[in-house]
Amino acid sequence: MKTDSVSIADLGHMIQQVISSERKEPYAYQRYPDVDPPFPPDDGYRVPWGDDFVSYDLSLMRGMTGCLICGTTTNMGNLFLAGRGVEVSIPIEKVHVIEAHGGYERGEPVADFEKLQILFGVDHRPLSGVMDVRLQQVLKALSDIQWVIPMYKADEHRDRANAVLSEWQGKQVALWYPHQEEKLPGCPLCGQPYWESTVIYYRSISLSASEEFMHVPAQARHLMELHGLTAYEGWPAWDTPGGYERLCRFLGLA
Amino acid sequence: MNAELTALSSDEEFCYLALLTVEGIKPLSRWEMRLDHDQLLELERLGLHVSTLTRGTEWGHLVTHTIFSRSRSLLQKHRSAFNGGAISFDAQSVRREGLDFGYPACCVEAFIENGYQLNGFTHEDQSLLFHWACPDCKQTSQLLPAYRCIFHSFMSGGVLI
Repeated sequence: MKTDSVSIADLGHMIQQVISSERKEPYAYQRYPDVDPPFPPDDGYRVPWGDDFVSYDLSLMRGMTGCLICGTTTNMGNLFLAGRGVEVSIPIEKVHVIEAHGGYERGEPVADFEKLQILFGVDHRPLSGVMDVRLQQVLKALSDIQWVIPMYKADEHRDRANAVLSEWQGKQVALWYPHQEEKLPGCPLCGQPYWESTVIYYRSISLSASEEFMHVPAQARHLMELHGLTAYEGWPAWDTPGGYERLCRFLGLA
Repeated sequence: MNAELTALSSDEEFCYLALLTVEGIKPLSRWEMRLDHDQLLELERLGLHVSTLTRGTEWGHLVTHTIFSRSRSLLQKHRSAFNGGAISFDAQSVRREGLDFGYPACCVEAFIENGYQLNGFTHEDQSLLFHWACPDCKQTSQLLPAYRCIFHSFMSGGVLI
């Protein structure tokens, strides 16, 4: 079954459809070559899906966990999915991340999306500007900056915002908080209106005439931190061409 | 015990968790929401010390978790380590939480390294636990009778809170 392209979030919805389906029926466990369900052989189900079936084994453990992105509480355990010759193991608590946050947590994919695509017989929407090998370093560098000087008064660049200051490799950097009225369209991956994110300006205070000024737009930070992307199809993450490359240089990452 | 017997409502699961803590099988437990007044009183009546944690999310929301323990000292140490911080699944946080919650260190390390993996325990036994046992875990095997005993007592109505 090949259908129109779908997003990663759609893959999450499909997972939920499978595990909540009333059409599930017990299935005879068969051994798969790569990934085994935790509790063979008698706890599996299969659900009709297109012209085939998707099988699953859901092994819940007690307890709950909160999503680090939004705080939503979910169950914990392991979900094993199989069909069309592939099998995927996903922590059940990460299905929420796939559905609601585009499938990435701090730049790391929470599941094998290529396999899920095969499993459900769909093409997922191609991503442009997919994860850069430097992205993990960039995210770490950003999280390493300690915002130690609170409430820096805005200057001429952003007269309606407040900021905190820090230092990074000898450069003074500022994290600016915009006002809510600067609301911009929601993220196409998760729907979050990104005024909830902060606008970050990294600014050198070098006294030279060629003072460096680095701007990381809210949507760029959102894509990087929540979806592990540096850009997304049809959604400009950076307000100037080459913005991501400039940020890498600014942070000292080649 | 069949699989259906291990299915608990949220309230029942909270009671089961509280009983494990009262009995000291779990030195400290976390319930990832705020409790109502009656639930707090019940925990205190059972001799548990109770506190809350406020943690932040990537979106800047604050969420409240409830922690409880027979040991005031452990409760305070855990609170000091996590209150006001962000929800995190990094190795250091998972390790600290796991040990405070009474999970075998081998299971905590295996979970950090491999997540959920085939462990050789039955569905029923694993579903009694609040941690994911590591493969063929001897410590978990030693813990299971106590978990099973409390679970059966609770399900048979022999223990009520």
